[in-house]
Amino acid sequence: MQAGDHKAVDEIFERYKGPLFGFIVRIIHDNDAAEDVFQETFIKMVRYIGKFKGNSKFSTWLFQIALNQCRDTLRKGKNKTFVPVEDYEESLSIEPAADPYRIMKSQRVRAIVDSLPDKMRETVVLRYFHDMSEHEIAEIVGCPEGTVKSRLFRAAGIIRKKWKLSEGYAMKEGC
Amino acid sequence: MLMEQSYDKELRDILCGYEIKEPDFDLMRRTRQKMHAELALQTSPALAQAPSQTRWVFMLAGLAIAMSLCIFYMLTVGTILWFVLPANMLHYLRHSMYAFTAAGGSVLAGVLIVLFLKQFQTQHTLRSSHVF
Repeated sequence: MQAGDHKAVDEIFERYKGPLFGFIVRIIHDNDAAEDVFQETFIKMVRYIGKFKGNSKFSTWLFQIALNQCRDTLRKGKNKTFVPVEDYEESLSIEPAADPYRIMKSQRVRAIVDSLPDKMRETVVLRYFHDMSEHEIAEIVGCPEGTVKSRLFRAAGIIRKKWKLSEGYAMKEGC
Repeated sequence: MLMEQSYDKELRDILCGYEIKEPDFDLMRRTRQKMHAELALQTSPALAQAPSQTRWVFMLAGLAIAMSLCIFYMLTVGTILWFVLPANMLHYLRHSMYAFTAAGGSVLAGVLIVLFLKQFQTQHTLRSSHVF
């Protein structure tokens, strides 16, 4: 790879395209911005691969690049008031003709995850959607493991509470 | 511990419904193209020359700083001492100028030697890596 191997670049892309795209969409929940971040992450990976010393796992390093890109995009987008719900719906992995309960559940979970504070959402997404250890998450988000643990603990409480609340609404609406 | 695991499982069950599709074909094609273009740029000879150009810029900057210090010394300390010192002490002043220049020259020579050895080491490493 470091000698400019195009095949190696393709292999890395094939391996990480799905997980990284999922991660980016869940963090910034804007499809157009997610596509830009996705591209920029892989370009930066190629640009800085020479600086990767192997002190951590390659996936950790790659997710770190993606997270920094997401944070930059979110920071720039703070002044904008974009709510591209339709675009975002397109990225969900549910077919239009799917079971209505499944669609409803997906939307409820998405709403709960999106409502979490940015740093808490990063931790939750890495832990529950990418099965990363607390140590890996700490490396990616750049904080001590203890902070990761406490974020996960608080997030669990919030998610459980909001899930129960949304179940009540869903029951009322008959879904 | 068991309770923690059961909470963890409960959360996983809740969150499992939130799936994201794979990126679309067009996005993947564009990304691949950009990655290969970046890789070609990274391995181009023009970029490989960049570090040596940077080195020259640093060397010239170092030389400029050293010369500026010499001139500053001569114009300020040197001039004042030239007027203040008695005539029999002026040769000490002249010698201090030589000493200052010699010190600057030594520092620059040291920098050049280090750069030369670094260059030599890099070439040696490259040659070794080609052999194996």
